[in-house]
Amino acid sequence: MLMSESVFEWMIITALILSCLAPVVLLVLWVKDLISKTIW
Amino acid sequence: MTEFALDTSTGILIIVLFGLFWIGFGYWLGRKNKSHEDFALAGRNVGFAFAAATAMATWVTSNTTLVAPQLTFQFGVWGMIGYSFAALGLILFAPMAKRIKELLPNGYTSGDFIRLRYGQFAWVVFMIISVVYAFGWLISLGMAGGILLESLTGLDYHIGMTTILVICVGYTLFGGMRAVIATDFIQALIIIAGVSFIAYWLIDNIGLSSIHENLTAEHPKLLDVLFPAAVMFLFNNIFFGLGEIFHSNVWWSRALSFKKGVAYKAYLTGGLMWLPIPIVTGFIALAAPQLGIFPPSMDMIGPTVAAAVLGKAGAVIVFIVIFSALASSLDSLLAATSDLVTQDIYHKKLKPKASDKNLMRFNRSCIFALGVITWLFCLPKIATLGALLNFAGAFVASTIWPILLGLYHKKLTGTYAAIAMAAGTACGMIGYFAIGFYVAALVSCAVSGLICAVGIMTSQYNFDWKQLQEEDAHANE
Repeated sequence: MLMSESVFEWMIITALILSCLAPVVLLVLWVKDLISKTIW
Repeated sequence: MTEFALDTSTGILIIVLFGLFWIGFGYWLGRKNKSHEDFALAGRNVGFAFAAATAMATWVTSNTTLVAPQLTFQFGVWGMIGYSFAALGLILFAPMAKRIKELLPNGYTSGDFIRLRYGQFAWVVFMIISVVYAFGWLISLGMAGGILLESLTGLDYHIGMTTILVICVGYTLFGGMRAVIATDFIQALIIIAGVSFIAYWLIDNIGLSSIHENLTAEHPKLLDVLFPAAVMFLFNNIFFGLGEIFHSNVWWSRALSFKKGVAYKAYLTGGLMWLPIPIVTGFIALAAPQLGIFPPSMDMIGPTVAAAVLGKAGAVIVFIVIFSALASSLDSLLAATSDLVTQDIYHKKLKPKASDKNLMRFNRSCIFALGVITWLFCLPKIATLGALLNFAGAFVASTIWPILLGLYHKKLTGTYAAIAMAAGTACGMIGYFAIGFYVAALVSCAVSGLICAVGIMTSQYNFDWKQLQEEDAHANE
């Protein structure tokens, strides 16, 4: 049974959106830690 | 590849600039290390942002960037989905990390836990597994560095491999855990941004429909959702990932170095951020048949596709991304393994009265020695990255149940834990050679679990958790 085109597209696009969000999350957390002086 | 995506001088320039930056950064961060605890565990005070980034970046290794595309090319969509399930290791380790921090407030390593919870015999078995795994991973990373430079720039494998090892050993030596974690943060940003950019470029230029159409017509097996070996690989990879994370001091030392209350959310966030990455990197390989790309070494499929589609700019991005992925894991492994040797063997067995300064000096020597040993093993290209990695699966999956039950269940004894790890590893290796790499971790975990179950059912033992709270030998210094 082959994976349909829509499922294939959905899977790749979702993975790409999530991976694009990750650096944003990390930078926001870093700024938050920086402001609260809790980086280390 | 007969023509290289980057000329050798550009490759050397990038690596020299990166090398100088990382080593300088490591040296700058290392100035804050005043004690062995600072050097080995960053003063046990790492905040959420760095903690989440280091969890994610360390798990993005050369295997995620090189082997995930290779496995996708072998097993199709299940290759990348199966690989992404390794995120479960980080996610499930989140509650364990919290528990570790509570049970071992003064602990340094995973070996500390095994010694205090299960005793000498289990500790010896565990240390053998840990060392085999650490070297398997270190060698696969060192080899990946050499292969990367050779494939993209034509630089001799031995020179490339040596350069990457020298850079990582250099900044870990100067900065310890603090340098490892801070560089991981920057490397995490580079890796995710680079990988996402390449995938977006592929979608924009070739198109998802076109890739799907080509695979359906020419390589339908790669889209087959009922590909038996691939489904087996998925489960094997889950157990392999769990074994790698649950036992390895790379993850324990991080849990112990995070601030109070950070470990759980950091591992959970790191795992969720890691989840889509193998799908993104694996997808890159699915464009290979359409582009007529069939590289001689399958673990270079991802970089070759990216370099072919994006040209020189793509090759530079791939180079930087994979170099960052390699460095983020190599430094962690060097630091964690040297901590294990320093704390578990040197401090606890050979020199219990060693001073703090002495431990720090020994730890640094250990990082250097590990780098040299890895270099020696990397000189001959002994196996493909995937084969080397999966061989270690037989070892690490045997530790899943002893670690898990050791943390949460009072009844499992050291003898059963040791037998479970030894027998699990032996059976996993038999599975590896008799059936295939994709069952090694599965068999190992199943056998180990069975022995642990017998151990618990027949046990009258009740472990006292207080025995784990060992006094810090340097508390009075």
